[in-house]
Amino acid sequence: MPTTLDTRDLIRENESLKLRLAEAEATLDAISHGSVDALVVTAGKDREEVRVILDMGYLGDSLFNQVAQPIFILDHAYRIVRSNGPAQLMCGRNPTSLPFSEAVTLLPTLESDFPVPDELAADWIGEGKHLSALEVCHQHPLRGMRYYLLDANPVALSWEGVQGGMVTLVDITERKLAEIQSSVMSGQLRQQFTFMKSISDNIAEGLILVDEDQKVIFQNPAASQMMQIPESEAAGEDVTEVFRIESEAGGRLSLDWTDPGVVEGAARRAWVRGRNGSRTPVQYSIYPIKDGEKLRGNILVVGNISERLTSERQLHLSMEKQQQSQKMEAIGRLAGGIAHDFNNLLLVILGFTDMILQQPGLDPAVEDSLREVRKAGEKAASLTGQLLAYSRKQVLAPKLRPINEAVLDIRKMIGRFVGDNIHVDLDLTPEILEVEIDLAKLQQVLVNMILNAKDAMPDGGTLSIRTGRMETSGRDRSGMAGEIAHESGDGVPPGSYAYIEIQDTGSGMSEAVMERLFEPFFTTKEFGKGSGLGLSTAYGIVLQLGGHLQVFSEVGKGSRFRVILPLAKNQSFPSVPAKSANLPSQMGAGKVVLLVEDEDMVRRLLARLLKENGFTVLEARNGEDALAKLPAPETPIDLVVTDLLMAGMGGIELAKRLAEVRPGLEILFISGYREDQYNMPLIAGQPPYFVAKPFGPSEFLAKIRSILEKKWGN
Amino acid sequence: MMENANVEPGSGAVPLPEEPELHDTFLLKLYVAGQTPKSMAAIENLNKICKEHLLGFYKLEVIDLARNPALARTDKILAIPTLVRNLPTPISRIIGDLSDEEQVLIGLNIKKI
Repeated sequence: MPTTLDTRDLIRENESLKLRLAEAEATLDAISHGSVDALVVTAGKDREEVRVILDMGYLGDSLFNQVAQPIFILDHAYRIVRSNGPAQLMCGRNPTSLPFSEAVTLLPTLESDFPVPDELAADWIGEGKHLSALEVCHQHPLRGMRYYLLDANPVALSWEGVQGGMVTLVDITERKLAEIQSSVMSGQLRQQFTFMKSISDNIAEGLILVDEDQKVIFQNPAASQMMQIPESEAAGEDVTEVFRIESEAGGRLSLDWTDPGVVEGAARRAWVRGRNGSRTPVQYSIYPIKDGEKLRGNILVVGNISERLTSERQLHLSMEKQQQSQKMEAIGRLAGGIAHDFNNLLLVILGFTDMILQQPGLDPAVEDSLREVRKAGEKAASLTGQLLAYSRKQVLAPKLRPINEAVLDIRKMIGRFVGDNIHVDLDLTPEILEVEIDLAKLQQVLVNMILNAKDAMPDGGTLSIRTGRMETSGRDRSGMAGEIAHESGDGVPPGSYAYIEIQDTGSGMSEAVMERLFEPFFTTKEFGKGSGLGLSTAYGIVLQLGGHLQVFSEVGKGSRFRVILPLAKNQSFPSVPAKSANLPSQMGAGKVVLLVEDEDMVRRLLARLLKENGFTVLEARNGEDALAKLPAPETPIDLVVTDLLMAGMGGIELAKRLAEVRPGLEILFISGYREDQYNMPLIAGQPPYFVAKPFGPSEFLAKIRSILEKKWGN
Repeated sequence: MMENANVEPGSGAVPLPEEPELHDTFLLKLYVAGQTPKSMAAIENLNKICKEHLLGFYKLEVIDLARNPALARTDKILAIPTLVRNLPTPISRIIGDLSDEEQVLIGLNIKKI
C-alpha cells in the first residue's frame, strides 16, 4: 500500500507528467501547424549536446518561389532535393531526386571561354569550390534557346553541416540577344561607316561637317589639305576659324550661315587661307543636315578650282585673242576693200595722166602740173599698197628670180644698216635657185629681219646671211640642239625649197616672246622704237609668196630666221620685159578685144588705151552684158579682157560661158586682188592670164602683147 | 514601481486562487534561433502584445539558441520559437510565432477564456 506521502508524490508526478505531455502535444501541434521553424534536439552519447536544427521549410516555399531565377538545391550526390517554380519550368517537370545533370542539360555558349560541362561535372560540392557567373545556354523544348549566368555554391544543408549545393541561374537571354543584335548592327554600322569614310577619304572635294553651333565635327583629308589643319585640330573648333575664306584680293570674307542662299547649297567662290598661309581658290556650298524639321548641322562641300580657274583664264585669253584676230581680220577686210576702190580710181588717174603726158607738144607748164598729179597718184598708190599689206591683200608682183638676187641687191645697204660693230657674213649658195618672188617685198622682209638682228646685238656680233636648197620630207623643223622653234602655219609640206637664213649672235628670245612673235603690234622694243608690225608684215608677205617662216632661238645665243620659198618647178620662162611705154601704136590693128569692166571710168580708160593702139574694142558692163553683145561667130574676137569681180556676172562665170559658145578664146583677167590669180580655175587646161591692178598702160599693153604674140607666134 | 491600473480597489471581486494577480510582474522568456522568419515574427508580435496589455508589468528576455543551444535545457525547449512565462507561476509556455493575439492572451492567463 502506498503511503499518503507516496500518494501525494504520485499525484504530483502525475500532474507534472500531464503537463509535460500537454507541452509535448502542444509542441507537436505547433510543429504540425508549421508554427515553428527550428527544433532543439539533444545529441551525443549521453545526450549532453544540445543542437538547434533549422527547419528547411523555414526557407519557405513562398520565399523560394518568389525568386524569379531558377534555384536548384542539390545534395552531396548532386541530386536535386529542392527546386523552385522557375527551376521546374526550366526542366519541364518537378526534378526532385533526379541528378542535376540529367534534369538540366546545359551547353556552353559560343562566346563563353568556360568549359561549362567539365566544370559542372567536377566535384565542386566536395571540393568546396564556388563557380561564378558561368555563361551557359539551355535548349528549352517550348521556349527555345535561353541564355543564363550560372552560380554554383556549396552550402550547408543543416545545422549539422550536411553539405549540399545550390545552383542559381540568371536568365540573360534578352540581354544576350540584344548584344548579339547590337554586335550585328554595329558590324553593319561599322561597315557603312568604313564605306562612307573611304568615300570621303578619296574624293577631291573637301567635306566639313559642323554641328548646329558651327563647330567642326569632322573633316576629310581633302579639307585638311586645303586648310592645312589636321582633322584632330579642327574638330571642335568654330568652322569660321578653320575654313577661313578671303576675297580674291585677300580681304577676309565672313561665312554667313544665315543667308538662305548659302545654306541651301548655292555655290560660292572664295579663296581659302591655309594655316601655313597658302591660298586656294575654291567653290563651296553649304547644305543643311536636318532631322525632321530640326537643323542638326551643316555640311560644307569645298572644291579646289585652281585648275578650273587656270583653264578659264586661258579660255578667256584665247577668246580675247580670237576676238582680237577677228577684229584685225575685219579691219583688214575694210582696209582691203577701201584700197581696192582706191586702186581703181588711181588706175584711172594715173592712166589718163600718162596718156596726156604722152601726147606731143604739151605745154611745159601743163606737163609739170601733170607730173605733180602723177607723183601724188603714185604716193596714193603706195599708201593703198601699205593698206593692202596690212590686210595681207597686198598686190605682189612675183617674178622668177634666183634667190641670191634678193640678198645681193641689198648687200650694199646691209653694211649701212648694221653699223661697224657687227660683222656681216654672207654664205650664198652657188646654185641658181629660182623662186617666184616679189623682190622688193622679199627685200622688205629681209631688211626687217636684219634690223631686228641688229637690235638684238647692241654690243656687236656676227650677222650671218645664208641661202640654200632645202628638201623637206614632212613636218621637220630642223632646229639645232637647245633651240626652240616657232613656225608659221601648219609647217612646211614636203617638197623642194630655197631658203634665206638670217642669224644673229644676240640675246635670243624666250619661248613666251617666240609664241607672240608674229602677232601684230607685239614688240619687245621700247615704246616708239618699233611698231610691232615688222615681223607680222613679214609673216604676211612670206605666206603670200607661198612660203614659210621658221624662227629658231636660244636665250643668250641668238636667233635664226629662215624664209622658205618653194622652188620654181620649171625653168624660168622669159618674163615680159617692161618695155618702154612707147609701144608701136598699131599693135592692135585689125584685132578685136571684148572689154568687160563694171567700173565705167576704168573701162573707158582701158578702151581708150586699146583703141589708141589700133584695137577694135567691144565694151560690156558685166558678164551678161558681154554675152549679149557677143558678135556673130564670123566676127573674130582676139582677146577678152575682163574684170574678175563685177556687179552681175563675174569674170570667171563669163569665161566658162564663153568657153561653151566661143571655145578657144584668150581671156585676160584683171583684178585688184593678187591672190585671185591662185584661186582661178584653169581655162581650157591653161592657167589664165592675169594682171593685177593698179597697172600702168605700158604694163597692160605689154601683157596683151605677150598673149597675142604667144597666140599668133609673132 | 508597480502600478495596478487595471484593478479597481475595493471592488469586492475575489480572484481565483490560481490566477495571477494582475499587478504581479510578468517574467517572460522568448526562445528564438537566430533570425529565422518565425523567430523574428514572434519577437515582433510579443513586443506588441506586451506594450498593449502588460505595459509596466513585465520583464522580457529574448534567448537566441542559435548562439547558445545549451540554454534550451533550462526550460526544456523543444521547438523554436517558444515563449515561457516563468512568473507569475505556474510556468506556462506558448509555441509558435505568437501571431494569434487572442490565444497568446489566454495562454499567458491575461485574459480568461
